[in-house]
Amino acid sequence: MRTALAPVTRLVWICAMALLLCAAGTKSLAADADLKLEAQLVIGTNDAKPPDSSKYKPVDADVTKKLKSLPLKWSNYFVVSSRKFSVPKGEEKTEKLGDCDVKVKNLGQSQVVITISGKKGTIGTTTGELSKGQLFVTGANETNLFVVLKQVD
Amino acid sequence: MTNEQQLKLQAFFDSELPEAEAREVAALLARDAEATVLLGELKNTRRALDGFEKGVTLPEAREFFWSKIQGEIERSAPTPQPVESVSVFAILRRWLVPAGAVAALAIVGLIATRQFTPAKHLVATPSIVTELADSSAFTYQDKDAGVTLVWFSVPADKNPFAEVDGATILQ
Repeated sequence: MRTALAPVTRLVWICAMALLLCAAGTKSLAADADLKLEAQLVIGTNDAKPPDSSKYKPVDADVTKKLKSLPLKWSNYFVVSSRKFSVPKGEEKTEKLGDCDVKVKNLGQSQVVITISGKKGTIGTTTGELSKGQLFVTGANETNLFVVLKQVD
Repeated sequence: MTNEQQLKLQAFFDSELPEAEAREVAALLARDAEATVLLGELKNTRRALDGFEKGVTLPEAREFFWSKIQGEIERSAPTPQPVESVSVFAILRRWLVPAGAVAALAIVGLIATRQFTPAKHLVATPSIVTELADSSAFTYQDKDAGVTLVWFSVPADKNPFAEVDGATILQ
């Protein structure tokens, strides 16, 4: 019975194992890489045009679709201001959007701690997962202004 | 006595010499005592060896005996192996077996990844901590859409979303 592998077969096996290891390593590295985020201050309205049409642009179609799946009372959404930033694993970063401070701590594996603060202090902290393609929306009271947080490439 | 004379004497004893040379050797024997002694030794040697060769005869014909040996040699000689033709399937199998194994590993890895990594629609409910007195929060998740809503209820004067660019937003 033949037990030894032919050199070509052995080479194919080695290449396959190397590829698998590379893939696993890449996935692992990707999981622990910096979290690239975009925070948007969004205003919701039932009017077709934003309150100040010269300044605000409509949110992206995918964000609109997700926002419309939420129990919000507005039908149109516009970006008031936007910040793109990255947060290394284990670190935190604060971005200012209007009067609102958004602090994000990257816990790794897409887990984040989001702290919302204003001029008069922190109002709340949320811990959860923010994977790619997922949207985190936070606001307060009846205000039609809120923050949208998502991962970007 | 020279070496040539000794050889001739031996040939004479075996009756292998032509008549003329045989006469010369006979003359030598008549006048040379050493040659006579050597001839006597040859005779004694033949007498001593006479019994050894008796009865050593082939039980079969010589040709048949040697043909058997030749046949035995040919049978024991290594026969050339027929050239093994490698089929296309064998070549493909050499690649397909490891490729199939890799594919199986990839599928197992994919299943394991899906099994142990929370999928987008299985996002855990976020935990919320409100920092202000008289405040609360509620959470809404649309797992299919992949969106999480955290809405705070805070005193109006502490709402950080109330103003933008100095203008008060709808309450």
